[in-house]
Amino acid sequence: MQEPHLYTDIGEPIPSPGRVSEYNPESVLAALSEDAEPGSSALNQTTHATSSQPTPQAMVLTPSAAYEAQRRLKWYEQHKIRTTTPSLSESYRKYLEEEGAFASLPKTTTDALLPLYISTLNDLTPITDGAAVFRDHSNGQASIYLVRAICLVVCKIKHAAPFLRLTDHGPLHEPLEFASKLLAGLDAAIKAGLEPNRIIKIQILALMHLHNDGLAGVDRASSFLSQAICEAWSMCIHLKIPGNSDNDECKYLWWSLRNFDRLGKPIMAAAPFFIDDADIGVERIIPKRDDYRSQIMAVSLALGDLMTTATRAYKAGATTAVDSCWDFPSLSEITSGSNFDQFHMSHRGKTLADLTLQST
Amino acid sequence: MLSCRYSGPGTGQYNRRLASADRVLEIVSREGCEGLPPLPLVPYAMSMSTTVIYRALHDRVRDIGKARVDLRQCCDTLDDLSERWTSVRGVAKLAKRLCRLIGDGAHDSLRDGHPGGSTTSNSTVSTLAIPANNDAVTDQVGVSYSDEAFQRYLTDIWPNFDASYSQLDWAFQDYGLDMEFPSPYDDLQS
Repeated sequence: MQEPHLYTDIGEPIPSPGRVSEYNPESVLAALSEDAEPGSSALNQTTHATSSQPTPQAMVLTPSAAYEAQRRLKWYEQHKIRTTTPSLSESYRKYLEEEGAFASLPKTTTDALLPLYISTLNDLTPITDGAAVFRDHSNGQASIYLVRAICLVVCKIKHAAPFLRLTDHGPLHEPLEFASKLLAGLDAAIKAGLEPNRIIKIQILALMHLHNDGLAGVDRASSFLSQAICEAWSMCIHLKIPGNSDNDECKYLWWSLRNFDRLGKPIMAAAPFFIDDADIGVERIIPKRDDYRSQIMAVSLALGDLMTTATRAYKAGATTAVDSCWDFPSLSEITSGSNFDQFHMSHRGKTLADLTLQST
Repeated sequence: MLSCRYSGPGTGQYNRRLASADRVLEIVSREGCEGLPPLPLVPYAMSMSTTVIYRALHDRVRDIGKARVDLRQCCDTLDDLSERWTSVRGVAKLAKRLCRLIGDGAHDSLRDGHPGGSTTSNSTVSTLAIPANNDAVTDQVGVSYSDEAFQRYLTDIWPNFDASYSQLDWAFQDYGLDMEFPSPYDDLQS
């Protein structure tokens, strides 16, 4: 991989040119610096890759744009995992311990709750690959924070009730009490920067936002979602990152965030959407015949589109007190392209979102 | 449901919203809370459906017999959901209170209510009965009254609440935000 071309005045290379964005002067300057090097292998490769397809004149990649995708990949790989550990004062560490930030859940709890997540939410809200987390967890390699965030969400399922313990021989907790304690620990852990993997951090925040109970729970949930989306923007997962080995995981994560932003907005009693579709560069997920996740995602995305239309009358800038939605797509139109009739019954219940918008 | 904000009875949007609420109630009742995923969308959809069904009673689009049955069903599902979702506890309590008022026959005068009417019109005249425990209006049982009287009536349910009907759905929403309920609810039986 090419080293960055910018140098400081003492001749040392700048390790990272900041977030890759045309808004960022540092990033623009880095791109110009690279453009100034004719015949670089990176430019040749990119040009070759794009020349095989006819491209509309307005969209022809400039050398700067061609580099941008490469620099984005470099940014992603450099910043996905933080290599330094946060320095914690003794008193801060003590606080984190008391909040349960470092705690791992007992195996009896995780072994019961992780499969519940896989069976209920893993395909419906594909924030993370639940099966992979379960496998990694069995080898002691999964993020303890991600595992706890998953348990936070599924602890409301009735079958989880006999397993809601925070320690091996500790008391059995009520779901809301269990969730409240998990959330406090996770919140402290995230604020302290204990999770080094930023993609996993996004997943944790997205899961945390699904717990909206308690005092001001809705505002808190909205705040977690906004943090998750900001981290996603920072890691550029809303943009194409050619060559990214995490491509599939990132795509599902991004579109899950967009679904939460659209479908969850009324739940959070807030009108503004965080995400403007015009800012999204990554392709939408197309329903594939043998890919159940993609089929559910396609339905969710269509519902998210509909939410934008259906809630126009609630916008603060709306000037007329008139509903505009005369024509609505039918459920069969929204679910066309997927084997909706064969969806798991609990997943078809997701059409509650659809019904919240319309009826036919 | 959300696609109808301003439209009154008889419009496509209004009918669509009511049909949506009926479907949500049907799905949640049939599947039960355990048959649906643990997502906040479920309690939200159920809460919103309750407001829509109650609104249909108020607009006299739905007769009191059917509304009574549906609201009771709403109460049961909200009760069930509120064990795991504090966000619906407020709506559940309020709906239960409404159910009791309807259930004890206090609203039977609605059977002879005026058809049609507008959800947001200030000139709506209703024929709701006034609860007997509201001293100020005890003698007005069964009489026609304006939204002003309706506000007094709802004030009995929710003291200090600006209860013009158009705001009731907001009341349902806002009420669900906090786990600790405001003092006006403290006297409500759960």
